[in-house]
Amino acid sequence: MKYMTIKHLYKKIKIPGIAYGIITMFLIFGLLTSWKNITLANLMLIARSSSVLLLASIGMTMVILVSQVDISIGGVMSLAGVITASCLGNDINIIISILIGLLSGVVFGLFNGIMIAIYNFDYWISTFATMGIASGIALVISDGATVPILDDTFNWIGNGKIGNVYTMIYIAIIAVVIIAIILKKTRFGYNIYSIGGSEQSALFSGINVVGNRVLVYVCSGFFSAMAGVMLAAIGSSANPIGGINYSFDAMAAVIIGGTGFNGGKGGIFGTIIGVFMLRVLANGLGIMGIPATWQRAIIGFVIVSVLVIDALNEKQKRTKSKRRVYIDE
Amino acid sequence: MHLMKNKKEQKVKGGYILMNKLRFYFSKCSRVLLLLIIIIVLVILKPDAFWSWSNISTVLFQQAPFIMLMSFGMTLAIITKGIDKSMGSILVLSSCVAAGFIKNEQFGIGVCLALSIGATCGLLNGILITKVNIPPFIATYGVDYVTLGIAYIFTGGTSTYGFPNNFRNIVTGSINGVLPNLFIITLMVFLILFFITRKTIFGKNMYSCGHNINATMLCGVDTRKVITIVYVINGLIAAITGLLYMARLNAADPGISGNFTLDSIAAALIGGTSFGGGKGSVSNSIIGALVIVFLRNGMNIMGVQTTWQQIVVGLVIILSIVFESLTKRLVKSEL
Repeated sequence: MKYMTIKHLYKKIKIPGIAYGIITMFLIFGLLTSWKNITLANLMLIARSSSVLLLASIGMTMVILVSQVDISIGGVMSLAGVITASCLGNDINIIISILIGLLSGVVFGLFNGIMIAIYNFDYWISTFATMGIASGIALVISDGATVPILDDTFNWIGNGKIGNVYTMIYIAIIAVVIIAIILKKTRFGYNIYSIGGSEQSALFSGINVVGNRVLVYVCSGFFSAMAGVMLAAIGSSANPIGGINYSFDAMAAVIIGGTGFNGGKGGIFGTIIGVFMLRVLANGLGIMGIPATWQRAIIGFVIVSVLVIDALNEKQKRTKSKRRVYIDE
Repeated sequence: MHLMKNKKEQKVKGGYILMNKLRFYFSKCSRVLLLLIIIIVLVILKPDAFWSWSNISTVLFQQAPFIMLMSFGMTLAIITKGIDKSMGSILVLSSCVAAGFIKNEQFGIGVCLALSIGATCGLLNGILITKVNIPPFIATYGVDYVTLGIAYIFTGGTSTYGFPNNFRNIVTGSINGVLPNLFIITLMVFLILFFITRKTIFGKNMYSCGHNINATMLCGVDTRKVITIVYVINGLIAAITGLLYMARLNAADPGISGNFTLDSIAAALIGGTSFGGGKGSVSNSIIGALVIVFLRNGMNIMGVQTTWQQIVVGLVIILSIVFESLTKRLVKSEL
């Protein structure tokens, strides 16, 4: 009986292989940096930087689950940060200025959704164009310079702590819990999975595919705007090109977490692991004092190799399943 | 009776076909019209600054060729239903690596190295897309990330400048002071690509790969090979553009990739290359590139800030997609 419970528990939790990879990587970095990375302060820093990427990846997870991609995340992040910062600079109430920042994300998400779901434009090129537009507007509003934020309450969101833990981490946890419940327990979540699994059968079983797609893009815009506002809060300033790399990072985090481009498989739990992997890697390289020029290449290389391994795995699975069908017959 | 009916139907059908042909020519000429409208508006608004030989020749012979070359490659990728986001970074890496050799007047080694880097990166793209089955956008995005990283490592973030004059002459010089060399090089690349896409079996295969890859595969075409070769060609074009751009700027710097990718995608799309794949041509992207270049030049002359220009280019891309889907709907509804 005891033997049963342990093994069953292990099988039930289904820890993805990447999770072991993160722990190994963490230990290797620990050995290389004489355990400087396993201090409470550093763990908090990793968690804080992960929480921004995690918020950006939530939207990407939902979009990839319906087997599409939203590249505009980076541009929308910069835009939301800049808009919030310039609203705060004009002495607008903090809650209203954050809401305006989030609204900009919703507007861009709606725009993407209308173009892609209703008018059937190609999602790569539509979101690529909106990324250009969003980051362009961010540059115009900020006049190409970083916008400083002097509001203490706002900066507290980024740098303040509640009981030794950064405020931002609570926000990320709340957002993830809400999205996990939505994905697993609501009709909208079920619809996302079934559209990703097979759009045709979802359509035939009476699911409003177009409406759900639009809603997914709106969610993606909303969460990337939230991530942009958080990014501005961390740095106490909004950089008009600060979010550019987040599109690719979020995509990589989602894929590393096991949500495939074919859609309908995966979830938010894997994305959390993917985000942690990227941030642990960046943090470890930073502590080791590797120059920024090298870091970019190393992280890019790791991401590409993970993508390749993922794609190869998928291929193997497909051939295996085909073989099984053949044997059964 | 039956025959007569058939004839009548044929007549009606003939009418539709004529209408469709007219629409087709309209949608084909609309790009030229757009270009003319932009030029006319600029001439009316700023006659002195825009409509002078020095400005027009600078735009046509000094700025346009680079975007044209890049958009040729992008067009090829888009015809096969893919996209090549890594071209900007391949341009940077090949020029940065070659810069050291060319500065020491070892032109052969430099050029060969640049071309082989371009071809290798293209091959990597092709393998990732065809063998590993990663979507083209992600594969080229990843290669873009890595290549730019390697370029920064290689140069240490600094730029190389001051190339020998006989290398710079390739771009700045001209034959008899009339035809600039850059124009002739672009024309040659264009003619080669035009011949490949229109007159060879490989070109036909490329279009059919974009149109329906499964059917092409079932017809016995090695689609993987075709797509890989397309990305290798792209890498080579990017390397050539890198060398030319380096000669024009008289510097090799990891930060020069700038707007190349966005502009060349916009140029290919405005030229009427459809994102659904299998449609479009290299000659169309010349007009697309000219539209983009004149748009940017016009905005510079009008004193529009560079920050605004990105928004305009993004909007132009979206407008061209909207326009394409509209014309598609019109043609479909009539049929």
